Amino acid sequence: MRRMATLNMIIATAGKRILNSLFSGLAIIWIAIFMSICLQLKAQDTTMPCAITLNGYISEMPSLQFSSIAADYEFSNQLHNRLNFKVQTGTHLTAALELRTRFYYYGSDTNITSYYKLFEQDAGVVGLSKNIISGNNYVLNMAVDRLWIDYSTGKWQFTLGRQRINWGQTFVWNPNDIFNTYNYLDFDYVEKPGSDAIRVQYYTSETSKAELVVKADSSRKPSVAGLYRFNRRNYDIQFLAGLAGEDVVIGSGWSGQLAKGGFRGEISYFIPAKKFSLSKGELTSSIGWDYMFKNSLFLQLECLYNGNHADSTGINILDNNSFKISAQNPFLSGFSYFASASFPVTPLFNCSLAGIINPENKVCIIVPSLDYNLLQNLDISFLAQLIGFKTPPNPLATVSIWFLRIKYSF
Amino acid sequence: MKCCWLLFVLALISGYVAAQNYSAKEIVKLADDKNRGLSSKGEMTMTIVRPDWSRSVTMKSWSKENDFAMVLITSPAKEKGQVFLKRRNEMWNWVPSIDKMVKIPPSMMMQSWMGSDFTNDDLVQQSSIVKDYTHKLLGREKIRDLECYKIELIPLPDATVVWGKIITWISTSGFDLWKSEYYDEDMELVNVENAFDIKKMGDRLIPTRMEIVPVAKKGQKTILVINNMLFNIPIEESFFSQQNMKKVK
Repeated sequence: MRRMATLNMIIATAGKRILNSLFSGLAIIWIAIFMSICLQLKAQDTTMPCAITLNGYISEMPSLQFSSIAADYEFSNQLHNRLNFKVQTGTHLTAALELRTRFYYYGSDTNITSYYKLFEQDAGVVGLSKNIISGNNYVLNMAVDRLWIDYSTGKWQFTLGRQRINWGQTFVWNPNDIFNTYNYLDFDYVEKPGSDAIRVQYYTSETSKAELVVKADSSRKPSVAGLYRFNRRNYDIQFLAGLAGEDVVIGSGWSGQLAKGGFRGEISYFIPAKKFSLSKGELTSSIGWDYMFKNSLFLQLECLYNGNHADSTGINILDNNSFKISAQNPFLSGFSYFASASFPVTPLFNCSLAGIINPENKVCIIVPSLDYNLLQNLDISFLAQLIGFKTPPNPLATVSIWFLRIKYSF
Repeated sequence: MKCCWLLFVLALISGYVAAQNYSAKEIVKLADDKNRGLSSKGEMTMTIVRPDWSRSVTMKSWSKENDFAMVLITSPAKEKGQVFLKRRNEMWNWVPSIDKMVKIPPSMMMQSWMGSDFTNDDLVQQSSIVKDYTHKLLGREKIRDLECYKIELIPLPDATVVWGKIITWISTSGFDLWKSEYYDEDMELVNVENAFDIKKMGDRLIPTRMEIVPVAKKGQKTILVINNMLFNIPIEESFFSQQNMKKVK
């Protein structure tokens, strides 16, 4: 009886919240705007081919977390759906809407509603992440992480709205990626959050471009930066400069080849805008080399120097919601070293092993993974994140998270 | 119409007669030119066949001379939208879901493309069977009812190619690459490629199905089927740009 009553209460509460969210959710309004734009575009010019595409994926991912700090293990499950809508009219205009919906379930009676509030955090100008339903140990969250219109004419390209702006050149840590830095350990979200920005790109040749980005966010601190990328002697080279939040940033990056392998790097220097002095800046730089052997074994090496000494520990780098990664602070402070080997045993079955060491913070992370393509569009992955860290005088602590993911792409 | 056919037959005959005096290199060049055209645009399906399973990738491709190529993946869903661009000796991969342009290093060029028996190099024809090899005519042989020139290709010392040697059979009538054997640096036979299904694509008759069979791996092969192809279309070099990688469809 008590269970029934609780269930009824959950349903009633959930119902109200659904209605509230449906009527007040900005996401819906944005979707409506998007759809009306699509229809108007189609109506305006019937001679212009207008292609609407939808793709995405749905994944189911249970995980178990063990820790030497907590006595018990933790179970959680995430059902994750992504929908990518795109409208292309002729060769000039493109619009996109991408939605991410997650149902997260935490397998314990512990009330962690405060944690779910973090799901709704949206760094953009407009909050487009809503918890549609939530309870003590579950939440259904819907977030719009792409919503942009792109107009391209001649050598110009203008993009307005929530978009991914990726200036990174290396694979793991990206000091140049000042708009959408990502956490390597957040492997289930390859798309990464978007930025609310106006982006103007001018292609100066087939392999070079200049761009200017103005980004606004919820903290009302605009970021403005420009980038110039060109190709010389088999190298893609870029220079960037601008204002990222409270810092002036200058940086450079490259992608080229060394001993037939990929040789990539990024360097950025951040100086506080209010106390502008070259000597007060912080340097962040990454450098990497990757090589594919004849048997398709793929080796990646990367080193990061993070001159930002923001407080961060081994445990919170696993928490994508609380550990705010930025180009200025892409990982733990000091030097970090990454190595990874990936080998396709068959075209369907891939094994990989990656490791990260940060001596300054005494953190070591090992990430083994197995990926198997069950059917043409169905993949199953097994992945673990094994982390060991030491905060003297405490002894070595360990946390391990084991994930199983089934993913259907469409 | 009749006149066209007559001209076509005449061209074939004159080609055949003239070919009697062609050097090995000229024969390979004729075959290569026919295979590529000055430019091309088409759609292909690649199927990876293994004893227990098979997977297909469909793609659209554009090319201009030896130097420029672009490939857009149209299926499967996971890879759809990815674009590969080749400009002279450089190659890039555009991954739209993460807005990332990845420069592909030489070590990756020689490797299997998407798990198939084709390499990245095969896909965008980075190396040239004309420029990167020396050629020797070994004689003539009949392969699956077609009279062929048998030619040995040995890579030039400084050429970035994966093979130690290629033996190729080019049809005497149509200059089609009808069969090829690929040897590694130890001169061990690695792959055998056979061409089938000669059909009219655009302005020419070409084999439309290629099968690559790795010799040491029983039951394995990769099949490339040309669904449609146009040759010598007007296409500017500027088409093969990083800007266009984001727009092609």
